[in-house]
Amino acid sequence: MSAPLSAIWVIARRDLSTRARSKAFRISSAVMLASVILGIVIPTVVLRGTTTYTVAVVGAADEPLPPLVAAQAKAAGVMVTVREVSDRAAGVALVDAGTAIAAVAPGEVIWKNAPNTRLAPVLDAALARVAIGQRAQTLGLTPAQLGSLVAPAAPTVTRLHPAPDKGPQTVIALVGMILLFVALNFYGAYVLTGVVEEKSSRVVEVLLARVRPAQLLAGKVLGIGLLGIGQFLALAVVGAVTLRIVKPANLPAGAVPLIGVVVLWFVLGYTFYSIVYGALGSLASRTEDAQTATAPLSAVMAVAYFGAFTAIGKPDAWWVTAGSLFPPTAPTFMPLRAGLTHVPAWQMGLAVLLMALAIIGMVQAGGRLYRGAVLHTGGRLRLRQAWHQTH
Amino acid sequence: MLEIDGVSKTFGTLRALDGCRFTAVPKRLTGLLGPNGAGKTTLMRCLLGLVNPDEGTLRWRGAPVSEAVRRRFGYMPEERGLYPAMPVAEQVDYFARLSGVPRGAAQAATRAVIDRVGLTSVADRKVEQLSHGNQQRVQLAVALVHNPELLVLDEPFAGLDPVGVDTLAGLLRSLADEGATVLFSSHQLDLVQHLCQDVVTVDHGRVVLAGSLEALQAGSDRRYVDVVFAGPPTPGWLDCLPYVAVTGDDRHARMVVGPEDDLDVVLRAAQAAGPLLRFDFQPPTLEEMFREAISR
Repeated sequence: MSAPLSAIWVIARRDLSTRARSKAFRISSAVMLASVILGIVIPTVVLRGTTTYTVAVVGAADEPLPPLVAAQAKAAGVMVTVREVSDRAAGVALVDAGTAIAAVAPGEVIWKNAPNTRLAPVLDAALARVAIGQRAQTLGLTPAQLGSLVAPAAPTVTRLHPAPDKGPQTVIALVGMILLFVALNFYGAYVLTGVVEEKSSRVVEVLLARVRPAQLLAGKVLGIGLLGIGQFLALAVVGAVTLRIVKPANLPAGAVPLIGVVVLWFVLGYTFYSIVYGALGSLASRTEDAQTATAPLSAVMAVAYFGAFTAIGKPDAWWVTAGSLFPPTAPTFMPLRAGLTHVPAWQMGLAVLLMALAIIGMVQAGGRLYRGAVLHTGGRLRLRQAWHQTH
Repeated sequence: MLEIDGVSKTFGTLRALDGCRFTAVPKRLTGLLGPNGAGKTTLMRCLLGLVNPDEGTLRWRGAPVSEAVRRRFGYMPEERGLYPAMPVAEQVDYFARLSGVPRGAAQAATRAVIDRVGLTSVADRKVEQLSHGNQQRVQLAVALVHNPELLVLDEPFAGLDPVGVDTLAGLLRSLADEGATVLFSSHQLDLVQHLCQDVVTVDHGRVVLAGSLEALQAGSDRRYVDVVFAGPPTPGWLDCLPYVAVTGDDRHARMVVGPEDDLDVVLRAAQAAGPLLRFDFQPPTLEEMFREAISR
């Protein structure tokens, strides 16, 4: 490894290990892991958590009533266990004991105190089918004739503005975007405090007597970035394993490629924003000044965040497309668009290219600011001063 | 040998360095003197690449000072700075690695330098848990760990107690004896006079006095003759001498004599004035030369 690269790596390793060992990082990682697991497990359990009703049905399995109850329940999406009983009295006993929620005898539904609103229509429909069968027999209709008589109409459905159900995708895109925004802020703040700490503890002069400012900033961005990607990967793996174990029923297709898009934009967005954070952080001499120094950046990030929220409603609007190409807003807009609508490959490619160019530009500009400002002590430096500072 | 050749630097309207020119040689301690704001720190920062001079050249062993050359320099800035929460040994090792020392060698060098500055017992403690004096030692260890050929120390003695001063002075002396070139700034002129072979005085960004202490003293206009009589001397004995007595009571006179003046004349006049207890010829102290240099 050449000397400049090896210095960057030495710096990156220190920043990575120092942060990884910190209590704040461990606690936040534990909280995030727990949120991912609970975020998958709880909705799955809640959605699956419809109770199975036990219904006592008078008659053996070869009689029409028991299979009809089961069939009607299945059609209505109500979980029902059919318990065959020999006569009405046995059914009443089960209902009275609370073993069965209801009992069905020919032409009669028995409840303990009040009918269950979900189950009552199912049982009524089953009895109605039995009654229809009996009347059809009286009228002399063959089962085939009866079948064609009660067959559903199957109407043609016309959708004037067809759109696929985007509910689950919206949730994933939104969660991905929020996670990404939180992560960008979290790791950006690490870079920011790292830069300010080195400046306020004056160790920066000792460092810069050995390495160039660009190496120092690059090492810091790399080390903290690897930590962030590592944490993201850990979350993704835990999330994937949890998904396999609990198997949620309605996991939408396209979730996995979308996670890929989120990770890609995390890497790009982090690189872009952390360099800006580092450069602006170098303007502050003390931790107290850091907030003021990064105020413009916070404003840009707020626009990127709330703009993306507004974009959920109309992901195909022209300004959403523009925002997904514009580097400062692309990290939040693009994953959202990718989740909600079809993004042409050339647009994705263009957005990545523009972002790469913006990162290169930011390395130049940020490096210059950092170099101009990092050795300045005694109060906050203005952006313009730092830019024109020539050491 | 370190050569500073016509180095100038302007910050805005402030001419921080104005054509500085001097040399520092191996195996010798060079003291960098000057009032506050004279440009000492800027000069040191130029050497370490923290400030780019507008004009002039810095040369080390005849070659311009480049990034690769600077890796052989050690630096202790005036604003001491370390990672407060990082243990001593880990910190020293980190800076060794940043100076390009390979991993295994860095560990060995760290142990050696920690031992040398006397920090072995606290090597695993965090820097913020150490006393001020020990933190200074860590700072020095960081500057020394990569075995630098040139050591640049900005006010290394500031804030040390007398024992700490002696220890550091001994250490710098032994580093120079081992072949290092040592350049350090200080306001403690008696210490510099006692410790250094060479001095450089900077004022308003210009080098006003540079060279070996001996040569500077020998070449100074201000050499002193102290005359002490055993009893009251003949009144008015000084009148026949063209020199001004700078201090004195009736039994003691101090005179300033130039390099071209004849000391015999003074001696004969003094002997004629009464019995002598002492007749002393003294070069100027560094402090006197310093004051004279910066008042010009």
